[in-house]
Amino acid sequence: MKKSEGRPTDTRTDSDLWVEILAGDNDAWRVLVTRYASLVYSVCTHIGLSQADSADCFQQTWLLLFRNRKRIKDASRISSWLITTAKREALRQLRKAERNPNWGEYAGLVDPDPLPDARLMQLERQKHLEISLSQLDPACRRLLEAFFFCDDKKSYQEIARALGYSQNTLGPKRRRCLEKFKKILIHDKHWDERK
Amino acid sequence: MIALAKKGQNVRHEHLSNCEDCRRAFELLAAFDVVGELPLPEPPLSWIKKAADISRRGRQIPIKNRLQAKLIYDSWVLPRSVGVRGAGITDHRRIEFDAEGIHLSLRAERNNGGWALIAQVEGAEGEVAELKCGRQTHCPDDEGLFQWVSKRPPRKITLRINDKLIELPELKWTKQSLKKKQNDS
Repeated sequence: MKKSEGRPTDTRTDSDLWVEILAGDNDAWRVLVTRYASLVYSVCTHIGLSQADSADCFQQTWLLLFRNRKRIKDASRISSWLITTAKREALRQLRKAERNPNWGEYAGLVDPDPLPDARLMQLERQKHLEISLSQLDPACRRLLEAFFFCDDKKSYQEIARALGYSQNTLGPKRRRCLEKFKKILIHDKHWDERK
Repeated sequence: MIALAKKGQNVRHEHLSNCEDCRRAFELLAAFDVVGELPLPEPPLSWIKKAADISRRGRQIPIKNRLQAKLIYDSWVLPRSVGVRGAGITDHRRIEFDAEGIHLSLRAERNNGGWALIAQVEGAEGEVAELKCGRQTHCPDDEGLFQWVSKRPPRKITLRINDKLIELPELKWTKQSLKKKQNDS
């Protein structure tokens, strides 16, 4: 993970936001959309839809969530609800694309087993880990990102230099940050709710 | 740690039994096979803005005004001006409607066995508009255009602008129905 900017930092849980959404708070809805936009987008694009079909899948998923807002009983399961709905919408778009006469050209590009549940669960875990990571202070977040979430693996020495720490202090700092992260994972309501 | 987590249990045990720091980190992170794969890609900002707007649009005030739009131009049926004939059924169709100063133009074009449609509303600038066509609801893009593709051309279209609901006359897309319509009028 390279960019820390623009990440979700709102500490309200999904359930907190949902109460506000039901009360008519547009800002709470915006926070929820921002929080899970990448998750819905990942499901819609994973299947190999065109950009236009992915856009339809993305918008339709959010529209359905809003329309069904009064029927949702357990707001802590919103991410699962979004995944299931986005999957259904993505498959619907795929079936629509298959009816297109030019479909033959693209048929080979599509995964024969699109959106297996294991992959969807992995996407959901990724998203929740990302949300928990965003609750850390910036210094710890940068440090853990450098160690665990960077595309290019760096040595201990390179990380210390990049973050401006001495090599001697990097170990204890990392331990403290992991402890903080662990506390967030254990006590954060996002994870609590999912137990 | 990531490399270690992917190795066999024996290799992990050996290292973890000697390294307190790694053991703590491992306990924490072993549950996540997603480590190293963050973050999920973000969609275009305009998509997020549009989805974030759903709540504002969805909580529209109740409909107070129901308007019936009038067809003012149809490239398949009506001559544009005296002495100029309509173009008849082609792969393109342009239709224009008006309802109390709100003007909707719709362009339809045959596209890969289906139809590509673009609609634009004039006379309601800055207001929240939503175009409903069958079961699908469309919102304007950044340039104010409603764009969608469909296997079949639209028959019933309604336009919602704040507390106004504008119903468009039902659209016909076959030669027979167009002929009947012309005879009726």
